[in-house]
Amino acid sequence: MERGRTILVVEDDPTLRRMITMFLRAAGYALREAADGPSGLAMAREGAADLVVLDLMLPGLNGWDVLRRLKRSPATMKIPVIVLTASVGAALTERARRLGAVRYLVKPLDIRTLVETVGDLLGAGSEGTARHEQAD
Amino acid sequence: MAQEWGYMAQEQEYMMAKPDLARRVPPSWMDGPAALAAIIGALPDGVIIFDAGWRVVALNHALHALVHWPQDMIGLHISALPHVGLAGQDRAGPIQSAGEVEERALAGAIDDVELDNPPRCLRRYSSAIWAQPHGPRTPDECPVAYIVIYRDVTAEKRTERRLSALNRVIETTLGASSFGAMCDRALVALTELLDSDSGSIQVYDHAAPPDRALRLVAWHGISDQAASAWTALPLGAGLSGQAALRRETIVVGRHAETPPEAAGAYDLADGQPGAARVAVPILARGRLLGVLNIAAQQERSWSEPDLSLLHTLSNQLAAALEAEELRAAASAAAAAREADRLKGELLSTVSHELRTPLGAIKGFASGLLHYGDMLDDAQRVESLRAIDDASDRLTELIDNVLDLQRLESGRLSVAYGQVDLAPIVATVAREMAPRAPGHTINIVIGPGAFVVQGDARRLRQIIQNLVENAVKYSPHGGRVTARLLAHPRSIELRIDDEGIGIPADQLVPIFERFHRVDSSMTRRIGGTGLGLAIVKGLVTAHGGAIHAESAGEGHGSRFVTILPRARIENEDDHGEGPYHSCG
Repeated sequence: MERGRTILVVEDDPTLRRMITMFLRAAGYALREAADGPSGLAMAREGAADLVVLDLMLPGLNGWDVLRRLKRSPATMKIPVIVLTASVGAALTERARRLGAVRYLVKPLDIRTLVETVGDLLGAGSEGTARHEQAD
Repeated sequence: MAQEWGYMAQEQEYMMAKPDLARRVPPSWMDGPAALAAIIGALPDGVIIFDAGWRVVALNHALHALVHWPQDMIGLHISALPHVGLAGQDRAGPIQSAGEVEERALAGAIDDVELDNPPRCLRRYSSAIWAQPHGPRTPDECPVAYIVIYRDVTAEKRTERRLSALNRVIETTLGASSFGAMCDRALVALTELLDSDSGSIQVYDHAAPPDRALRLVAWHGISDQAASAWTALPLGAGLSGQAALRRETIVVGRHAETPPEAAGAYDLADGQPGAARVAVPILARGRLLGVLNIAAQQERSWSEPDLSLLHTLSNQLAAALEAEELRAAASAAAAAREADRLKGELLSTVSHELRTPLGAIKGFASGLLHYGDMLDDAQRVESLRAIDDASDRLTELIDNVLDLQRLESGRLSVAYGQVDLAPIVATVAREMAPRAPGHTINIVIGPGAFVVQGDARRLRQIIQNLVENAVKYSPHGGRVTARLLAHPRSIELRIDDEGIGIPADQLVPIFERFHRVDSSMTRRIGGTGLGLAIVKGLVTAHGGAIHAESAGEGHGSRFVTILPRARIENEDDHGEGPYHSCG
């Protein structure tokens, strides 16, 4: 099960953070977690993440800024980022894509969609679960 | 008063503009009184000639027509003449001193004379031009004769009064700050200027039931008590109702050209007393806006200028009413927009707040469904608990939104009784303790009774919410103290915590709905953002007040609630009330 891949979850709501980490961990990934933008950025720069799940609605430094900085810094620009947001809209999706996010997931989050998206991006699916391609 | 003086000044100017009226008579004329009489007899002005001793030498018919003095006046001394007062000289009655009159004659004065004394609208006026036969004299010279010429200036005076009246009404109405003030001022000016006793303005309210379509908005010369009996009238009732219905002016009075059926047919009883009346519909391009009424107690006539003044004013009122309607429509539209905006804001905030617990429910549920077998038992229980908690939070949020909406629309049902706060505080603290293991919850209940008037369930909601907040916003534990203090007229509930505190600029807005002190700390704590708004609403509904105190971030908070103490009543009389006993 252990794929040796580490996922960084940046989400301020403790319940949702716990939820995401619990299921991704169950799916076999190693997890790091951050409750705000600056600590999330710091963890990503330490090279501790193979993928970032980033909430766009963060206190202080918001998710868009975190995304922009991740993509600007050579140390982190190659890390795929999945953004989470409560807002639906083509303009937002497009903005996230332009800033370098690979996927744009809308809350309330379907855990299976998240797990499958992560599986797609990290190149290793969990056994028995169907691929679910997320449209950009 | 100032107006009155202005009026007099105008009068003087007018008179002074006609100096040629002063006639000078050569002394030789005095030798032939017959010739003199013939000459003055032909003049249109009233002329009276006195000799040097102020006895009447000659007078003409025109004078008789003006002043109605006795026919045979030749030889009478001026003091015997029923001379009317010299208006503007603060004097009335016969002239007492010939010396005084002589002074005026020597000065060539022109006096304003009221010729009779009916109501002001019917009064007639004359100017008296005092003249004496020789030119300016030294005081030692003795005049031979004096002439007083009376000219009827009633028509001029009326015109002047009308113009000044019109000016006053226009100034009055233009200067008013609101439509109501304009009506009030217009009526005061109008009743005075038309020498009438009372006036009123009704506004036609097309949205009102037909029997209350004419709403009294202003009155003058009618007691408030009398007016209160006529605040609303049906179209067609009374003279004003008829004027409104027909959209035409109705005049009741002497010489009035009232429609033939009007004289006895109109029921004058519409709150406006008076024998002589005018009701003018206020129309804007034929659309009825209201009625302007004017009334005099005594029978009298209304002149054309009277009516035209009323019509002018009615047109002004129509313009003002239309402007008022536009303003009202604009402000109603603005209020509707604001209500819409608030509703939209509430909706968007609520939907945002709903997403968080919904996100937990959806996430944990979808996770359990697809990956439940990958979790251990503890994780499965945790997931289910998270779903359970989030569902509770959703319920709470919805309840809160509904409570707040009821509070804001004044529809919150509050059952009133006498409630003792002490047992409620104790219960809330006792129930909270196991849910806050990291906190010490103290209650301090001072001596005295803590009975307030209110709804036990809602009062408990207030206390519980405040205690929960104290626990919630002191995430590192510490003491939470709930105190009850008895004051002579009020009861104070004071809740202190040692938590994250409140920045000074947030102490007031913290009670606004969905207001959050936005810091990572508060976001981590979460909440519906409605709790304090509801608490404040509930406290207010109980006639109380609440405020927050804090020494700043990290220094704890204090919430002080003041509720009015219930009046001590005989419990035997009120034993059936939902009295909340200790327990």
